[in-house]
Amino acid sequence: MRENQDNNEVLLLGDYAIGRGAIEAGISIATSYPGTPATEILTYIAKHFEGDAEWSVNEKVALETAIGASYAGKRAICSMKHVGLNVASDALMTIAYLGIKGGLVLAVADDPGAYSSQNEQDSRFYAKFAKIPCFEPCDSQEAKDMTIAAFDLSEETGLPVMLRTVTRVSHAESPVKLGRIREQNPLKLEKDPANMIAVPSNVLRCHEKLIKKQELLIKWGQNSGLNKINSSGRKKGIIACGIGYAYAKEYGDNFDILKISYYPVDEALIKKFVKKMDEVWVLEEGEPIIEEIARKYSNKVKGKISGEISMIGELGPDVLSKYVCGWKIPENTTLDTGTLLKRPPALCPGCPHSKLYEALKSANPTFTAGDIGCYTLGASPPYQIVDTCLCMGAGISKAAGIAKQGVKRVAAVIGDSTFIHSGIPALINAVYNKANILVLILDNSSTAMTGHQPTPLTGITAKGREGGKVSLEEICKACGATSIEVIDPYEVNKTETLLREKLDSPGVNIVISRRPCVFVTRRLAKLKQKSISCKPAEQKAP
Amino acid sequence: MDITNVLFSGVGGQGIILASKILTRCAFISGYSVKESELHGMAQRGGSVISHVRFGDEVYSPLIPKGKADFLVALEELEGLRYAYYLKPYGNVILNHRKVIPFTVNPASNPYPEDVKSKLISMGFHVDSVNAMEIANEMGNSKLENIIILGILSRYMPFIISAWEKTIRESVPPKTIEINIEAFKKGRELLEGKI
Repeated sequence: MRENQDNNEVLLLGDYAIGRGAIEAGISIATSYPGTPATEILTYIAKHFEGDAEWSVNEKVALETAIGASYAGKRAICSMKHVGLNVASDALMTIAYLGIKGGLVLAVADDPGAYSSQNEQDSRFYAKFAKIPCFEPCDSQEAKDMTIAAFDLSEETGLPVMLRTVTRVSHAESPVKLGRIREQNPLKLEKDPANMIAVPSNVLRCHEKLIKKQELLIKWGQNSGLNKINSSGRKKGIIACGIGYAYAKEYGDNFDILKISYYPVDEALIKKFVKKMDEVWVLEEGEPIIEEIARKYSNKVKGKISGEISMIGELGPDVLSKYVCGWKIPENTTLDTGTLLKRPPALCPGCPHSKLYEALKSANPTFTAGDIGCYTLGASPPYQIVDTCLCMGAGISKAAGIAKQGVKRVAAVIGDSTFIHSGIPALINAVYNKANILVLILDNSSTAMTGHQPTPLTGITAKGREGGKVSLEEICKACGATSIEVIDPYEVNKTETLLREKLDSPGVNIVISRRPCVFVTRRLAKLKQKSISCKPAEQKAP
Repeated sequence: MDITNVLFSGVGGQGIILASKILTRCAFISGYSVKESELHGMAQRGGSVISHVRFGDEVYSPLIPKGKADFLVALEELEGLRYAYYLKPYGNVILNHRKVIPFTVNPASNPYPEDVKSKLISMGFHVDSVNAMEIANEMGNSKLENIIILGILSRYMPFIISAWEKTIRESVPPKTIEINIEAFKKGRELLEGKI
């Protein structure tokens, strides 16, 4: 038990702690696109910060908006899930060359184990790729502290700085000591063409500038003490990166630990640690980045490359159990869970998508290219109507690619938020290049999977205020769709007839299936009730 | 290292995250080092859901090592069986007699397991079972299931009742505070005199 509880200490999810860190660091804006496990960084900031916090239409736009704020001299945080960084990488790779003005922190949450993602990619590669520094916290307190340190380092080096978390940091709750909130930077927008315009005449010089910063980044790491050795002179050690440290500590006093929380690492430190060891384990979520370095200096290194630790899935606290005495799972509690009835996720009762899928299944398309969202669950029983899912916005383009090979009755299914995120260019492309496909846009008035965030189609912002409202029909019309129909998916028979007709029609035919997610409907009903009960009696409708 | 490990399991929508957060907050205000780990997104959509809570002298991993859970709080029978391997030998199960049949069920080849309680007992665990839904329905609110179960768990936890009440007050919607506290007490009374 802790003896003195600090009154300034609160329990926070890792994502909330990052949000709190950004607020304490004096941000002027936060941008993001919803994605598990990063979503709650922005939801926290939107709720607790008086200034700007926006759901951008996609991660690239989010990062570019944050860069704009940085150019104006302000501090900005941009958050996203790991695959979101693929979308934003175009902006990232070059802003590292040009450099930033006000502090810019890119908070990226990885999903080892792919609990709610289409892959397990390791964002530390992007930090290395872009040659920018990266912090990796192991709990909520570190998440907050490192967010603040990242802003300071960003302004010190003129570089965007990455904060990499994983699900078990982002979605784990632990105590955090709150600090004071720094004042925001003053507005200072100055033209600096040599460092703001990425044209050939500037590129090589900017690249050189970035290369020269690398030594500084390593030195900063050395002085920060973020990567440090806890030694008691043992001959067994663990190099523990980020959450790996929390797992390493489970093995108590069996190992010396080299804790890694910052990249680029000082290789001399790794060399010093591994040289004296008879056995060294590397615990890192994702790819064996540090293990590869450690192996240069010792042949006693064990981990993912050597094969003791799986390259697939997340580490977890049991990662070394097999190799440490007294850590085996007790026999009498083992149960063959493999034969147990499985319970995969499913669409909620009353979900409008389920009704649409009933109609689509009856209309029987040759192939249905899906997209990312709740409706991906249409791939599972009982629907089994979604035949492919790759990445955000890919459904329409893949459908067009298939149809162009002469396949008839091809459909694409995409959600409203995903359509705005990256479906629009694919739609224009299908129209321009004369594909014959049926495009189903599932408009449930929210980004449902990640927790029902509003979209530009709802005209409500991340802060719950009135924003600009965009019309789905008008966008489709402007993209040159052959036909646009709007249906209520609850009218299954009517929908089926229409889908049959449109599957057999040439051109790019759009059917918008419109009905809010059941959770959104419930929330709206509650809001309505509230606003009615707040009104004076005489103003009530008759 | 003296740490208490509590694993919550059930089906998305049963209020597992709320229950685990109440326990976490209660441990926190009672002065313990504490960590909780949950899952969001795709995993929540009616699927199998677990949440880890650990408190004690000093907690590092937010996840419970397999075979080290002191308590398994199962809000659904199949999900209780599924995660029993997390329990330490002779660990405790608080089992809600609730069956939510998944769509993958096939009575012939892939049936819903029968007699989950006996299965757990035969594995050497101590099982306290309850039909929380019945009690919740009697109270007129089916959503109280998780809080009733939490009331049972509270008998085993080293926190004073006022800490629980304070935490519940701060964690549930304001309009439902009183009924939630009543549900908690009902759950707590179920084990009166038994331990």
